[in-house]
Amino acid sequence: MDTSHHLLLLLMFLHYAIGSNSSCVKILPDSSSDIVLEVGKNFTATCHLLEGSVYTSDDIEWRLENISIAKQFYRKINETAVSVTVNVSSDMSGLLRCRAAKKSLSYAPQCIYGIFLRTGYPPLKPKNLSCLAVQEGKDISSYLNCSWDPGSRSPLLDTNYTLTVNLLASDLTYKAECNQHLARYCVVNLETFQIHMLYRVWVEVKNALGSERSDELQKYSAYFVKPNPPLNVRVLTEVNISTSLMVTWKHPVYKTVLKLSYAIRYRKVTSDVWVEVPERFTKAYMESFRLQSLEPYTQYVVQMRCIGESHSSHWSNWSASITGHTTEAKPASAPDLWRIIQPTSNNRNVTLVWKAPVNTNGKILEYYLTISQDYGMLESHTIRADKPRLMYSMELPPGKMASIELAAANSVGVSPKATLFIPRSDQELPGVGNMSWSVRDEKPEPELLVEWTAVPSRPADLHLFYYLLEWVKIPQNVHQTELQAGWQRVSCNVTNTTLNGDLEKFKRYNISVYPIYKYQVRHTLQTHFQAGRPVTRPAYIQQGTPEKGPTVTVTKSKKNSAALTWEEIPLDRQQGFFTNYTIFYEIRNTKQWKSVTVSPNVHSYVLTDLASETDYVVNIMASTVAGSVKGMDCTFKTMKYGDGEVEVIVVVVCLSFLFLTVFIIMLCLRKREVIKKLLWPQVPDPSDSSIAHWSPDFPIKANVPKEDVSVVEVDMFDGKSMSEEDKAVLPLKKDKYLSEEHSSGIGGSSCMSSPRHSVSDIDSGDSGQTTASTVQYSSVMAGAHKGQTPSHQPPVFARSESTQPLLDCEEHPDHLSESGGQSRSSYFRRGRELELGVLGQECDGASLTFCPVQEETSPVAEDPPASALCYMQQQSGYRPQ
Amino acid sequence: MAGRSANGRHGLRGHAGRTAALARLLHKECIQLLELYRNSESLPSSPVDGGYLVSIPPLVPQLSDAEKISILHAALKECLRLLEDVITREDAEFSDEDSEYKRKRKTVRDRLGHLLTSTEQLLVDGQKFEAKVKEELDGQEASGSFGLKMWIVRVLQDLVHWTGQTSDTLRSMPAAPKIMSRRTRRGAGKIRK
Repeated sequence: MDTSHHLLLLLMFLHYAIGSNSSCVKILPDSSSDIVLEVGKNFTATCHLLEGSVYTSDDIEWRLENISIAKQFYRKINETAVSVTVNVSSDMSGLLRCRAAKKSLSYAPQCIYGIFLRTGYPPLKPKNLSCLAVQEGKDISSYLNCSWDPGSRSPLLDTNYTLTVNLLASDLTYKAECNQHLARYCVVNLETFQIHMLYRVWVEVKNALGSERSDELQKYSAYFVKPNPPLNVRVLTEVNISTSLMVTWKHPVYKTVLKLSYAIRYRKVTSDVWVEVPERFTKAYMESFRLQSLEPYTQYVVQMRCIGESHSSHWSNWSASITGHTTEAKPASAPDLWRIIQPTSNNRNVTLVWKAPVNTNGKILEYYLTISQDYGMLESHTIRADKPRLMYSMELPPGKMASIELAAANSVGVSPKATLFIPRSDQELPGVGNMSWSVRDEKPEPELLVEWTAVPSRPADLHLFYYLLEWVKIPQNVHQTELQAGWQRVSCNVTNTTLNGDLEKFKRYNISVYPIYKYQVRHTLQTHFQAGRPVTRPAYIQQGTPEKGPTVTVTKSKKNSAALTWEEIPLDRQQGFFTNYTIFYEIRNTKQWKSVTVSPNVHSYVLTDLASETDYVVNIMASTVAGSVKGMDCTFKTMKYGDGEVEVIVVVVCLSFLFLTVFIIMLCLRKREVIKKLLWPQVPDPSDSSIAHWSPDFPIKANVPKEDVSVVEVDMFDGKSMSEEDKAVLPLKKDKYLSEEHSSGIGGSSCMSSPRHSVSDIDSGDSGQTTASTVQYSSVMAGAHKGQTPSHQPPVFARSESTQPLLDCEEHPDHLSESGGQSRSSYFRRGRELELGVLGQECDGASLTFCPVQEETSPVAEDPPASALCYMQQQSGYRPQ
Repeated sequence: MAGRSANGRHGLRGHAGRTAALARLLHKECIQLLELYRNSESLPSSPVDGGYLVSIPPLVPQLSDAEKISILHAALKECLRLLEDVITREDAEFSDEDSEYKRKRKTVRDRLGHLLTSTEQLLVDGQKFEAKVKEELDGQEASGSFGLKMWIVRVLQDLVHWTGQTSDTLRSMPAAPKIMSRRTRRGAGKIRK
């Protein structure tokens, strides 16, 4: 019972769940599959409440993919039906539902029904249908490849493309379907491609919203054939015809399949422009053709293609390029001859330069150059064309003219001659009025535009033939094999042109414009081509920053200024026209740069207002329009003194010294007596002493048999005047002196240094004749030499006794000690001479330490024998004592 | 396709010219087919004696071009029938593998059918000739495989001969003959996909 009750409940639930949707409400139109709607069109669906429904039309609601449709699109048909009309858009695909439900709370089950919508477009008509059957081997492929334009609008729906080919004669039809999205091509297999048959081809496109069919393509089968290019295309050189090439080929397909006509095109290897042989010459069914009116000695590229006779098929592709070359002919044009004249001090260096003829028509082997000076002998030269530089240099005196002819030769013949006339220096023809240049920034490379004015005035018989523009790179690089110059000729009607030379960037060129005149010489009937006077300007195709900056040197540095010089940067490193030089300078390490700008033709400058005795750093920046570069720093130091200051100081010092010297001298002269007294104290003259007048026995003098020596006793060993060291040494010396003295006696010791001892010895000998209170004066009694006659007053030998002190010795013992030698020599010159004579002997003998060397020469030189003799006699004289 | 003629007109004399070209092409292909067969079957290149299998009334000069074409059309028709017999027999007895001979054989058969269609359009109303076949395939059963191959060679020789005759006749025609108003349609509705 329970089980059956449960089954009943389940059935009731299923009935509610299912039956409520199907029996309660219904949508029209209804479909078991998607309902396809066309985008842009209106679509109307009606929701019907089925009989017995508890709902009314007011309870119906439309929803599209869970979004309620606005009531304004509803239309109430009756109490049980409501329709909705919407404009179909591409995004409306999905479930459209109709729901009937009470707005207030109710236990009544809701009614729902839905339909699935899909939106899209009907297909567009395919356009531009074309078909192609390529060649396979010797036959035509059985696959026909057709393509069309499906249009750009996507149908949004699954769309089928069906390609149909119908063979009219047999009603055989071949089909192929292509279902890819927006299919543009399809391939149909014809099993056998029928030749000479009429085919009908179309493509049909179909989807849920409709179908379209392209226009039919009804053509004979050849129309669809695309043959292969001609086979085995060859280009043969015509040996004897330099302007012709023979082209041969093979038919790619049998004539029975497709009778072909051909097309030939050719171009020079160096060109991209094809020249096509007119079809009327090649439409015949042939396998060779002669290309004519070609250029000699030129490589040509040839291509061929073919098409069905009378353009009945597609064109084949072009064949692979085949290259052939025509044979040589003699050069058709003259070489391009020019000259570059470089005047020297008394001559002209003429460099003839030339280019090969434009139409060489072969390989130029040689050039024949003929030069005639002053219409004189012809000078012929043969120049091989394989030389690295096509040029010839010669010297031409300014007073001579030259006529030059040049011809080029290849293996076939010689070209027409190029002629050039170089007049005397003083016979130059007029040049152009003015010339200027400018740079045009063309892509990819800038161009140099040269403009000039016409020749202002020229003789009436001169015919201006053309202008010649010459460019010469400066400075010329001697290591380069190519002449770094070029020229081009332009019509005489133009006054501006763009240089076609390959000018290097950042390099300076001299651009010259020459008018070239043509005239005929009357007496020789020769035609002369002569250049007028050139107008030259330096130019750059593109300026750059200088490669290096100037190197500055300080030539002169002063107290407040410094002179700078710098050398001009070599032309090939300037890379542009200098606009200025800028001199930067600073006190070293202060970073406070100052600058001075000078014009580009200045290469020295004096910096002023500098601080004295200061280190400065200076450098120079060279500038072009493209940029600037600084040179190396140079350091210098300003002077401490300005110009003449040192000289003034020296002069002042010298003058001061001079004045001081003069003053001192004057003072000395004025005070000479005082000085004299100071330096040479007054010593009483013994000759003026009373004793001189006292001695009555003058004759005794003559009888004095021998000379005697009186020694002034001077206390040399005064303790006050001796140092302690001397005192220590003293006993030794004293002993020595004593021993010598004892051995030699007074007469043998002229070198004795201790007159005191001598005196004491004498005293000991003559003690009986002296008194203790008196000072003994001893005089040398000169004139005792035998046979020697005194030249003047005979010396007086006297022993005086005086109570007066002899000298100021006692009062000025220091004077004695300091200048003892001098004073002795002054006051006792005679005696000293004698002493020295003796000393000479003594030093040779025993004395080692007390030898008056500085005075040794004069007495020896004066009278050495006498001294020696005298000495000997003295020795004998004393010996008995 | 710039420069191509809009209607694809042939340089020959209209339909007759195209038919002549087709006959010439077919003649060449028949020669190739015979060559291929001899090579594939290692048969001597010398022709097989016994005359042509297909016989027609003599093409005397008194006959008009249309009559000649009509006669030749009958001969070609018999040739096609014989060729189809050959194909059926060969396919039944020999391997089914693809070969150049078989491709060419199919091409010749198709081309011959098209030539018949094309020449049929040249026939004058009411004129109809019959061609006779001397030896049918059925008569070769007893002679074995070699006899069959010899017979096939003879069929191919007939093809070469009659296509050549047709080609020559069509090419010799001074102008396009009167084209039949009636167009015979063969295999209408036949669709190959």
